[in-house]
Amino acid sequence: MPITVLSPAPSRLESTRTGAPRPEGLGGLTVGLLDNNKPGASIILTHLGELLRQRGAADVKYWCKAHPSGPSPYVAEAAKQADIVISGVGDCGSCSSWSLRDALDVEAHGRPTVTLVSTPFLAKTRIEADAIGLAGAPIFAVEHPMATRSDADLRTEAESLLGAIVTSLVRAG
Amino acid sequence: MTATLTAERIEVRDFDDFQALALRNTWQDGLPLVPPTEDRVAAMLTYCDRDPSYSYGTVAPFYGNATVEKLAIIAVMAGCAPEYFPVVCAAVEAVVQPEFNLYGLQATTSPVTPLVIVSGPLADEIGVNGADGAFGHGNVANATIGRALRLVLVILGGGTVEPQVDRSTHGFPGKYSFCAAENTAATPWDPFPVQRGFDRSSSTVSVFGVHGFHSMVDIVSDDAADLMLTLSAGVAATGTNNMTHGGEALLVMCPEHAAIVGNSGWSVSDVQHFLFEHARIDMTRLPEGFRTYLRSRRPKWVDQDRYPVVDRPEQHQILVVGGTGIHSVYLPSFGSTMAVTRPIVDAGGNPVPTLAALRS
Repeated sequence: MPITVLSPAPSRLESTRTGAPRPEGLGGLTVGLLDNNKPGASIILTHLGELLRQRGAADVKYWCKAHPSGPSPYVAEAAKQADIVISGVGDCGSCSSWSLRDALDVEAHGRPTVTLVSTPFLAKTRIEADAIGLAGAPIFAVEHPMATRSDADLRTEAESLLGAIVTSLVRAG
Repeated sequence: MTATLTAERIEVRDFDDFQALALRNTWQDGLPLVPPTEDRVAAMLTYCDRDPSYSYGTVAPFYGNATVEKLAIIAVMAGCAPEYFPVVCAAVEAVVQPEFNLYGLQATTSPVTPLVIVSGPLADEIGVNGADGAFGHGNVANATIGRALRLVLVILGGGTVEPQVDRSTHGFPGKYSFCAAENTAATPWDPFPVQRGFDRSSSTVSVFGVHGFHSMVDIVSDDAADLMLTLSAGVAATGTNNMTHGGEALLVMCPEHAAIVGNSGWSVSDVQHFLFEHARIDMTRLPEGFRTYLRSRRPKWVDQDRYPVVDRPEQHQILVVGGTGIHSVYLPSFGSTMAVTRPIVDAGGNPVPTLAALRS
């Protein structure tokens, strides 16, 4: 005897998010770094800031939130003061999700972003970016675990990600 | 009533075929589900006077819309009786509040889940257990209300283990179901919602983003301060998220322990201040590297040898739950979360002390 059931599947909210337009080239831009306060994140982010400055960015601004597992209070400030923003580095479940969310909220203010997470959290943050309404948001992975590695090792990893990050944040100038 | 339900209708061959459908769509927690037929969903809506399209909000991280209709379908799947539905709705409304940080709770590697506590006359009326075995098995209301909330987090929120969105390192048994009543008959203090400003006649649902379950026995202390010293030592656990984040921390006292303290004239505030002063971690036991890490999180406390697990006394939350015995329980929190209490109300926002007021 067949049974008719009602589907519990949610109606998905219509996405109202679109990626921010990418500026042409790094020249003259202010880079914003949204640190999630995980051990090692500041090494990777500040090194990326320095590398971007060497490639033509005019300035680097840095914000670090107190707790990784909640929203950054600096999203609006970063969107106001920076032209492009790097958010991370998520090396756990909640902190990778919140680094992504911070980045997508900066994008909603019209600034291009990339999110950095460690490898085990890449798939989930991509799924969440899709669910939040910005599929294809640039997310890149560093090796896991991050917290116990040397500063030199973390800087090397930042260097290896630089090209992809630049390509995601600006159009070739 | 059913004419207003807009959910997609799906025909399945039988009970087993529905289980397979739920498995394919990750609408499940690993246990068999009740097929949500129109009749069962209509019955679930008996105790809700809101329109089925009314939404309590969206459920992170997928932000599915928590409409009355979807909640009723899921409550059926969880095995809820219709009279439990107002509690399920209030629990969902509570967890979607921003201060609860469901986005973080659903994603974290920590062993975290919402604990649902029902307080007030409705808890007794529908039979939520707050006495012996309250956090355990054997009570239909506790089991199915807690399960319904968990299924909402999975189905509407996308908090699945596979695909890997819920990334909890070990998971947590409470991720099947975690619901109990406050033992208001046995507490020497005002019930928890009354402490938070709700009227004593209200029925409420409170949610706590808890991070484990640590039982503490003390059979010998008959003095309030002695007993509280024992419990403080347990609350000063190392390695919890409270240690690294601060935030709120929940102490569930058994009635016998609560009576020793309350009957000695201690108020809830006295208990909170005692815990704040005595539930402290000996920082000299920790390696310097870990102290350095804590310095970036809770810098105010790191250079004190006696490090508190919360930042303010009132962040020690006190509940009385349980039956006979001398076991109290410390439930640290996720840290980046705040407990939320929601009253059970009708569509007009009026408190609903009993089910009769809701029956449509």
